[in-house]
Amino acid sequence: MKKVILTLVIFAMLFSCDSQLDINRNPDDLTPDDLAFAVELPGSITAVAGVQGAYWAIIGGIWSQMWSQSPGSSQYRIVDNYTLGTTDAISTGGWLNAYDGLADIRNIKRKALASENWNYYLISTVLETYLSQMLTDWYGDIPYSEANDRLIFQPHFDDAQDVYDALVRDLDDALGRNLSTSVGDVPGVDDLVFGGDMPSWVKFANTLKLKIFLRQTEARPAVAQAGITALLNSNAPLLDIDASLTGFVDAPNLSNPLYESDKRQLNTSLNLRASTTMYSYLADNSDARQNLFYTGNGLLNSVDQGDYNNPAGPNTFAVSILSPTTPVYFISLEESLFMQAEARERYSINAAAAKALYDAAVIENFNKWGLNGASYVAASGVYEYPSAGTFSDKLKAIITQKWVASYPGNGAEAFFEWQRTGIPATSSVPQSDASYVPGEFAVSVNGVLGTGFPQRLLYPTGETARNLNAPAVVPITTPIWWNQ
Amino acid sequence: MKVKNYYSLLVLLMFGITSVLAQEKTISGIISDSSGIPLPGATVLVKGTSTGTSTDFDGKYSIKANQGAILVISFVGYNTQEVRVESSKTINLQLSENAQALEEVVVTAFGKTKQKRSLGYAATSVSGEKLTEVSTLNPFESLSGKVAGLDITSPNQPGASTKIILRGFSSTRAVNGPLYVIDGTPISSASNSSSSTGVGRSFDGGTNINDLDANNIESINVLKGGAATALYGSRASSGAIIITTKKGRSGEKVKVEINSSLDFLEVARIPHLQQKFGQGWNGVDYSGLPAGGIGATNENGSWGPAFNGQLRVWGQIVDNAQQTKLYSNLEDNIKDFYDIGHTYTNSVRLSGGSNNSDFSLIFTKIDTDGIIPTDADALNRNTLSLNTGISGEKFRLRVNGNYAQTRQNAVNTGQGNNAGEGETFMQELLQIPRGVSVVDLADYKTNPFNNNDNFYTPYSRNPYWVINENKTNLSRERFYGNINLSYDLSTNLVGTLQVGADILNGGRHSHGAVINYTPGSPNALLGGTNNVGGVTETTNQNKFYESFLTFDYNTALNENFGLEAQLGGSMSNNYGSRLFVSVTNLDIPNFYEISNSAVTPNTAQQNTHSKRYSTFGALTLSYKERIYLNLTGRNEWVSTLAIGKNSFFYPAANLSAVVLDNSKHFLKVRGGYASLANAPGLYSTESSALPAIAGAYFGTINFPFNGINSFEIARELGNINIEPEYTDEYEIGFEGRFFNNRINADVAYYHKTTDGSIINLLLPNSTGYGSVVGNYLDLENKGVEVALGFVPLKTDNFSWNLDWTFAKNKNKVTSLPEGIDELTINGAFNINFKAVVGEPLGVFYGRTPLINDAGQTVVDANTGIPLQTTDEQALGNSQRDFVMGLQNTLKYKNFRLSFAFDWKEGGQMYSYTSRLLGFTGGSILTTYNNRNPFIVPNSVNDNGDGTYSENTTPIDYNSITGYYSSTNNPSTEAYNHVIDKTFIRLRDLSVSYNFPESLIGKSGLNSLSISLYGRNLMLWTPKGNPYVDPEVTSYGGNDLTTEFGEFSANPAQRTYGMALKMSF
Repeated sequence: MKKVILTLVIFAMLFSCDSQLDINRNPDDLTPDDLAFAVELPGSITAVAGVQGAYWAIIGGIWSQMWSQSPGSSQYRIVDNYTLGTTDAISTGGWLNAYDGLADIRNIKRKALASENWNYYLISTVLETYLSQMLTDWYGDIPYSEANDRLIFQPHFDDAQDVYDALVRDLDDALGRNLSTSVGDVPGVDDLVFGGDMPSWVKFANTLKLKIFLRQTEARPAVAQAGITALLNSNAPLLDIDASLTGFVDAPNLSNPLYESDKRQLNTSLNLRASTTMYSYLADNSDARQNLFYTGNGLLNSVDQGDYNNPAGPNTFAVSILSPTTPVYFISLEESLFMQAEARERYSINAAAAKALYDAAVIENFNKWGLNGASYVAASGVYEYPSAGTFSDKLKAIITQKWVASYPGNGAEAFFEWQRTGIPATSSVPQSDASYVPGEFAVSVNGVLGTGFPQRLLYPTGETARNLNAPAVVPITTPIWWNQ
Repeated sequence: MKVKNYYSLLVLLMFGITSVLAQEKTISGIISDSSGIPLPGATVLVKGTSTGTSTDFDGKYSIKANQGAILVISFVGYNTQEVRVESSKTINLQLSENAQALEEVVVTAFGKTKQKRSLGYAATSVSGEKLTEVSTLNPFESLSGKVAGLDITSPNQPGASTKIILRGFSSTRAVNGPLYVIDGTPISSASNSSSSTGVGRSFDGGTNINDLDANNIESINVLKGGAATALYGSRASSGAIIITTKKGRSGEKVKVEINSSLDFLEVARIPHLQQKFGQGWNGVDYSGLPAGGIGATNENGSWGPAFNGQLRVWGQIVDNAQQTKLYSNLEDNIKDFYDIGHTYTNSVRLSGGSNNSDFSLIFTKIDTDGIIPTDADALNRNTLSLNTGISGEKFRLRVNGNYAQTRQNAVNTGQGNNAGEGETFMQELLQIPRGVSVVDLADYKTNPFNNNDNFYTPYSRNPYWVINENKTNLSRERFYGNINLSYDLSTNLVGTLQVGADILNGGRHSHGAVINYTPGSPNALLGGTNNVGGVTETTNQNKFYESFLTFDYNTALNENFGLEAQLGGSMSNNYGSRLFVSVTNLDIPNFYEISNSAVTPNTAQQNTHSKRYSTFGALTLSYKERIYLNLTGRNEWVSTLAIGKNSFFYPAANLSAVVLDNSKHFLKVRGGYASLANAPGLYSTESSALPAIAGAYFGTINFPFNGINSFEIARELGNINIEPEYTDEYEIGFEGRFFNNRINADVAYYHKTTDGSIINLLLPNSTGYGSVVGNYLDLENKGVEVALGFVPLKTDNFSWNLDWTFAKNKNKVTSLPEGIDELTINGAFNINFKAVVGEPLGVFYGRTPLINDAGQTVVDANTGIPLQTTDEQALGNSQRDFVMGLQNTLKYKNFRLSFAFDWKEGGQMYSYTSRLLGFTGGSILTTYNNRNPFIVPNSVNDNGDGTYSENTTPIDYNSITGYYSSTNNPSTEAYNHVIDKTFIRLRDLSVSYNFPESLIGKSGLNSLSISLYGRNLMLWTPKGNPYVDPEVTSYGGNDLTTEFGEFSANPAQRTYGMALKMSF
C-alpha cells in the first residue's frame, strides 16, 4: 500500500507542476501588446472606412435623398420608411464597428502617449475624433471618455455637447505636441491616408476642427464663431488634398465598402434607385454628373422618395452607379473648400475669398467624375456663385453643392448639414405633384413619421441591453442638440 | 434490462470436466423463460460435480448425467432451479425471473463493473441488442424514449448530428453534451458541422461519436447524475455515456455473426403548403419583362391569383418562345422533388477464444444515399474493431482498437450566399411557386428554360442546379482504442494501467459554382446577381491521449462489512490542428481547386493544446450487501485556467439501501450529493490580436490591403480571473421490481445548482469588445425521471411488455451579473434568444404587435398594419414541458413485435422555413380570408390623445403580400416565426422472427432471425407548426444556440427496412 501511495504522490507532484500547465496561450495569435503601430494602424483606418463607407453611407444616402429603395426589392425599406429600430443590422452595425475600430485607434493612442510618439498620437487622435463626431452626430449622447477601456464594462454616456467640447480639446492636445520631438516609429506605408506625411495630418486635424465648429453654428453660435475665427486667423493649414482611403480594387472584400456591400455581396444589386430629389435637381440643371450617378442616361424614371410600392416595373427606374474602386473620402478636398467658403462668408473673414473656394470646390467634384465643371460655375452657369446675393443665397449654393458632391459615399454628412441648415429646402407638396420644385427634400411616401423626418439613429440593443449606464432609447424624432 | 454475465459461465466451461460413468446417459432439453422464450447461455450443472454445460442460442443443452442426479439450472436474473434426472432423456424447463436481479451490473468509471444495487445514483443500461433491433446509422438514435431524463434529438438524416442532453442545459457554452467513454477511455464527440449559428450557409456534418459502430456495442450505460460522473472529471459534468464493446468469449470456438440490413428511405415531413394560389406577386401573375413590359411570370412567390385551370404561358421568354402550362395546383410539387433513398448495412463479426485469451473482430460497412436526388446526402462508413484479451495467473492484458472511415456528403442549409459558395437547396426549393412542376426543372443542361440565364425567376435558383453544383464533402479517418494492463498485486489489490488514444484526421471540401448571366439574357436584364463561385478546403487533426493508473482494493472487513477502495490518477493531452483555405471568384467554371482564383485566399490556421491531470479516490462501504455508502473525491489540474486558479477539488457521497428483497419484490432507495466542477474552454484567459477585418455591412475590408498587412485586437477579451464552475447536485430515488418483475420502477428526483457558470458575457459595443468569458451566470436545474415497466400479459407463448419513461426538467437562470437582466445567446431576423433571470435558459424575444390596454391591436391608420411594441416581448422559451417515451414489446413464440412512441411536449423554436413561406406566399397562413382585403380583427387607431378609435383601413392585396413579410409587417417575425416544437412520433416499429432450430437445424446455422422495421413512421405536430420536423436542425453540436431553431433545414426521412441476422 505504501508503494501505491508513493506512486500517487509522485503522480500528483508531476501534474501539479505549474510549468506543465502554463500553455494556455493561443500559439497562432499575437497579443494586443505585440502590435506595433504600423501593424495596428492600417486596420484602424479601414475600420473607419468600413463604418462610414457602408452602414452610414447607405443610411445617409437614402436620408439625404440621393437614393430611394427600389420597388423591385426590399433591402432598405426600413431606412426609407424611417422605421430603423434598435436591432436592425444596418444601423446597429455602424455603432458596433465604430467602437470596434476605436478599440484599436485608442490602443494606438494610449501606447503613443506613453511612448511620446506624437506622430501616431496625432494620427490616432484625428481618427478617434473624426469617427466620434460621426457617432455623436447620429446618436447624440455617446460613451466617449469611458469607452474602449478594458477595465470598464459599463461605460458612461457623455452628454453630446460635452463630447463636442472633448473632441476639440483632444484635437488641440494632439496638435499641441511637438511632432519634431516624436519618439519611435515613423509612419510610412501603414498610413493608408497620407503615406506618413505628417503635415497632411495636421491639415486634417485643423479641417476637422472647422467641421466640428461649423456644426454648432445654430446651437452655439458664439462657440462656433470663436472657434472658427481663431482657426482661420491663425492661418492654420487646412486640407488642400483629399483625406481619403484609396487603394480599393475590384475583388471581394477589398473594394469600396459601399460597392462591396450593396452591389457585390447582396443578392441583387438594384436596391438603390435614383431618388426624385437629387435626380430631378441634376436633370433640372442639366448636370452631366446625373448620368454618372444613375443608369439610363437620364431616360429612366426616378423613384419618388420612399415610393417603393410603386407598381411600375422596377426596370423603369434608374439605378445607382457605384464603382468598386471609388475612394472613401473622410474629408474630401471639395468638402474642405466648401467649409472654408461657408466659414469665411458666415463670419466675414476675408469673405471675398469665398467665391474662389466655392468655384474650386465645385470644379474639384466635377474633376472627380472626369468632367469639367468650369462652365457650371462660370457667369450665368447654373451653379454660379451668388456673389451679389444674401448670405442665405450663398449658403444655399454652398450646402446644395456640398450635398451633390457627397454622392455616393458621404450622404451622412449631407444629411447632417441638411439638418443643420435646412438646405436643400423641404417640399410642401409630394414629389408626384406638378408644383414640386426639383431638388427639394420630400417626406418618404411610406414614411411612418407623418410629415416628419428622422432625426437620429436609435441606440442598438447591443449597447443598451448590456450597459447599465445606457440611457433610455431616444426616439428617432428627437433632433440632435446642434439641430435647432 | 440485463447485462448478461457470461464470465461465470466461462469459468464453468474452463473447469468443466465430464465424468464418464457407466450409468450415465445424455439428457437434453430447452431452457426457456416463463413465457417460453429460449434462454441462451443458461448454465446446467450436475449438482455435486464439476460437470456442467450451457445452453446454445436456442436455449438447448445436452449433458451427461446419472439417473437420480440433480441438475442445477441457473441464469442471470432468474431463479435457480433444481430438477432430478428421471428416466426421461429430455428435460425442458422454464425459469422464473428473479425480482432481485442481484447480478445486474453496470459499468462505471474506468471500465469497472459494479452491482447496480450498490449504486446511490441513477444509472440506466441499454443492451446492444436493443439498439440494433432497428438498424440505424447512429447507435444513439434508438436510445430516444428508452432512458428517462435523456433528451435526444436525432434527426433522421444521413450523418446528421445527435444532440443528447441529460438533466437539462447547464451552460450556454458547447459543453452540455455528455462525455462518451468507450471501454474506459473517453473519446471525442466534437461536432463536424459548420461553426455558424447564424442564418448564412451552414451544414450538419455530424459529430465524431457517429463513428461508433452500433453493431459492436455490447451495452450502453447512461450515467445521468453528478455522482455517477464525479470519477470521470469535469468533462462529464453533463453526464456520461459509458459504452462497452463486444468481446469474445474465451474457451469458445470461433463464431461468425452476420448482420445485414436494407433500408428504403422516403421524405417525411415537408411543409404543408397552401393549394389555392399560384405564381405571382401582389395578386397578379405577371411582372416586369426583361424589356420592361408586362407579361413574363418571373416571380419566386405564390402571390398570384387563385388557380383557374386555364392554359397560360409562364416563365421567361427564350428565343421568342415561352412555356405553357395549366394554371392549376400540383399538390405534391415539392414532395416530388425527393427520391427514394436507401441504406445498406453489412456487418461481419468473428469471435472466440482459447482458455486464456479471447478476441472479437468486427467489420461493418454502411452505404446510404438519402432522399435528396443525386448523392448530395450520401454517407459511406467502414468500421473495423478488434477487442482482444489475454490473461495469465496474475496478469491481464486487453487491447481494443477501432478504426472508422467516413465519407459524407452534407447538404448545405441556411440562406446561402452568392458572394461565396452559392445557394442552398431548401432555400431555393421552397421559393418555387405552387403549381410549378418541380421535377420538370431537373434538366437544366439541355432544357433552355431551366438554365440559369432563363430560369423562371432571377430571385432564386434552380434547386437541381444547386444540388448538383454546390457541394460539401467531408471525410474522416479515425482511430481510437486503448491498452489495458492489470496485475493482481495481492489477493485483494489490483493495479491497472490503461493508455488510450483517439486520433482523428478530417477534411472538408466545399464549393459553389459560378453563375455569370449571359448579357442580355432574361435574368441578366432582371438584375439577377452573378454567383462568383468559391472553394473551401479544410483539414483538421485531433489527437487525444489519456492514461490512467488505478489501484483497487477489495476486502471483507468482517461478516457484515465490506470495503472497496480505489485510488488513481490520470493525465490527458489534447492536441488540435486545423488549416482552412477558402477562395472566391473562381476563374475557370466547374474547376473546384483553391488555385482557381486570382483573389487573395482566406486562410486560417490554428493549433491547440490542452492538458488535464487528476487524482481521485473512491470508497464503498457495504453492510450485509444491503446498505452501501459510496464516497468519491477528485482533484483536477487543467491548463485552461490561469496558473494559481487551475486546481480544484470536488467530492461526492451517496447512500443506497435495499429495503425490500425477497423472492417476489425488490426495492432499493438511494440518495446522494455530488459536487462537480468544470473548466473553461481553450484560450479564454488572455486577449489576443487577429488579422484585421473591417466590417462593412454585407461586406468587409480585408487585409492584405494595398500590399500591407494589419492586425487588430480580438473581440473576445481575455479574463485571467476565471474560476472553475461548480455545480452541486442532490439526488434521491428508488428502484423496485414487484410481483416477480411484472412491475418495475426507477424514479429519481434531482436538484442541481450551478454557481458561476462559465459563459461568454456579451459586452456593450462601446467597450470595443464583443464578449468576455467568465463566471457570470448562476442557474438551477431540477427534475424528475420516471421509468416504469409493466408486463400486462404473460402466458407460456405470449408476453406483452410496456415500458414508459417520463422526464421533466425545470431550468431557471437564478442570477446574472449585477445590473444585467438578460444575455443574448443567439438571434436572427429580429428574434433574440436570451438568458433572463427567473426564466429558463433560452427565452425567445421579439417585438410583437402593439396591443392597447383594452386588448385591441393598434394599427397604422394608413396601412391597417399592426404597429410594433417598442420593446421586445417574451415569446416563450425553448424548454420542454416534458419528454415521454412509450415502448411496447409483444412476443409470441418466436415472433416479436415492438414499437415505440416519443412525445416531447412544449418548448418553442425559431423556424426560418415559416419565415420564408410567409414571404413567398406558400404557407397556409397566407390564405387567410382567401386573400381578400381584411381589417385586422379588433384593431384600432391611436388618436394620439390616449384614446383609440376603431380601425377602418383594410389591408389590401398589395399589403397582404407584404402582411406576411417582415418588411411591411415587422411584427410578423415575433408572431409567426417562433413556433411550438411539440411533437409525438412513432419512432420505430419492428417485427422479428427467430427461426427455431427445427427449421435451421441442418443448415449449420446457430441462429437466424429476420426483422422488418420502420423508423420515423408518423409525426404529429400542433397546428402552429405545419412547417418542419421539430427535431431537424441546421446546426450540429450540443451548444444551447442549437436550440434556437432551424434555417432552411433539410427534411427528415422515413425508413422502411429489413434485417437479417445469423450466426454459425
